[in-house]
Amino acid sequence: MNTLIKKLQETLNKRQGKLFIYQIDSFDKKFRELDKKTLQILYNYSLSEGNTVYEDICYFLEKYKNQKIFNFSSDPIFERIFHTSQRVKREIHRFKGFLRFQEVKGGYLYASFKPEYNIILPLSRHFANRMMKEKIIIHDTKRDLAFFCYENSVYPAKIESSIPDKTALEKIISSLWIEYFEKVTIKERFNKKLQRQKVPLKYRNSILEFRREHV
Amino acid sequence: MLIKNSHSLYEKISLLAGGAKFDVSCASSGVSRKKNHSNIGNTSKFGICHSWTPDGRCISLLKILFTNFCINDCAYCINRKKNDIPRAILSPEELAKVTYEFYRRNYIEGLFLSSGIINNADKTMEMMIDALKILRIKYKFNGYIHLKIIPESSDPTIFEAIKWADRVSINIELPTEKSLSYLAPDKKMDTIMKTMNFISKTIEDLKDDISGYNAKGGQSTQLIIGATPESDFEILKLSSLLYKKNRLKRVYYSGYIPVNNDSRLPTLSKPPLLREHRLYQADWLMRFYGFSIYEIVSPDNPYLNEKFDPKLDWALRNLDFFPVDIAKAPYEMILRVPGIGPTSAKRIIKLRKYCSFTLKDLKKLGVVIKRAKYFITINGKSYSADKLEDKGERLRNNLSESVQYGLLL
Repeated sequence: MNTLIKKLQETLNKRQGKLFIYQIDSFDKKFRELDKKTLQILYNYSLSEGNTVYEDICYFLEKYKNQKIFNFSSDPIFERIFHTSQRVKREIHRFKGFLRFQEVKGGYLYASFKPEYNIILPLSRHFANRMMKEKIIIHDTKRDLAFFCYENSVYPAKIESSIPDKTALEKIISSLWIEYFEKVTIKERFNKKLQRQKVPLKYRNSILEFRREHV
Repeated sequence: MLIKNSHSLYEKISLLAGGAKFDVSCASSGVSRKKNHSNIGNTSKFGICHSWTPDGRCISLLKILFTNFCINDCAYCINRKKNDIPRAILSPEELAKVTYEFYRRNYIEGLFLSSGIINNADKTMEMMIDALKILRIKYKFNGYIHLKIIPESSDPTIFEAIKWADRVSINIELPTEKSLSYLAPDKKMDTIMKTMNFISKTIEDLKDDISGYNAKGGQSTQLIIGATPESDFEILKLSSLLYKKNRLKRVYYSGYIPVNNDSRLPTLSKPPLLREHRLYQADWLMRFYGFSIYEIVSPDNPYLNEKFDPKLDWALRNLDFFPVDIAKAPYEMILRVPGIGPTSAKRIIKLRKYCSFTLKDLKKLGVVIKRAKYFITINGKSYSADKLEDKGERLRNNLSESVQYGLLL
């Protein structure tokens, strides 16, 4: 709970420069009154990087009177916060599945992706927790943001040199995967429309088995 | 070792993935395990899909056979004894290594291991368990494992298998003893049922044991649809029994796809995908909507309506149940309205204390208005031009247009 508030404040602080009179610290009390679910919604909303994130959250904190009815409100701004945060949440969940790591020389696992929203931090936490002993680099090439994950911690990183070459094993394993992907398809059930719905074209370039050279 | 044998490993994976693809289960959900410090991997309660193949099916687990050698001769199976096809067997180490390497690249959420039978059931199971042990101990793999139990395995072997897996399953494949003995003479219904009982008992006994994985995700099974003449009623009757009596987590339905030329099997122009879809819908009604099987199908009416989904079909057969008043009716009744699922029904119950709804509000809550509007009132106000009394044909026509979109087949 506390870390969530901290994260949210950090995200908002970044934008504070261009914004009007509110001081983030004065929100602290209000943040603490909110339940965890609501805070999570606000945090996800802040990751959407929409133009009105800061104003909307200020507005929300002023209006919100501990109703437990976040997902249902005639207020268009409440609605925008809820729906956008849902979209962010969905993208985080999707990339938990779609992100593809490659093993590069030096013993790192490297993945690059181009998400619509700025979800690299929650995503990095997921992988830092999942693969404790791996040295992981996750790279948002759209925003040029990177995180280094190791032993359940995430560290902001800057990619200054080029990415090291793939290991010899990497080439073998990735070709095994592409062959597997091919062979597990049931031709009699072809349904490309459904596939397109599940794996949107905009993400395909960062997913190994969907890259053009394999399809 | 992997590198040296990579060429043949490539062929093995290719062959053994192709042999496993007709098993439809791929769920990685139902087990939440935050990791402990030395291991790689955790599991997510909601499951994570990693990819979707061109048939629109998700890939969550590395679904593969340990071997496609088999001593059985099931008519519907590509790996049956009498087929002249290339055969392969993985070593436990190879399998563990590939799973581990796939997992750390985030290709998969875990392993779904099945197998043909080599020598006998226990021998095969022992090799599969060896692979699991290598994965769990040597590679410290803490992700999701679904292990297929081979029919006729002995109790101690099954017990051991359960200790290392997150979910186990034994496939019934054909819904009646008669069909089984006709197409899969080596399989016996009562042996499979006995094994299922043993599995649910073991899982229950190990509930509080923390030394193993103990199949916390429960057990599942699969039925092939359309290879034999059973009606939807017979199939769902079996499923409902399995859910109640054997506490299965899931029954999967797999539309029959011909892979062998065999005079005992029907010739189909295309796989019965719509029927499969309707069975899943009916299955959902039994598990999450409080329907009993006799409300959905019965001996007199043994097939599901292909035109309407089973919930809408029930509603049209029970028009006197409606309209349901969204502002007052209890949860169970709201859940019966076509176009309202458990999520939106719960939201309605939670929020109606605070405010009243309009149709537009209901839409925001996730209700499918174009279906629901015929069956509801809100504080007595009706929203459909069609009065319930003269619903009949006109309603059927209206709805049949609106449900067309629902299927992506």
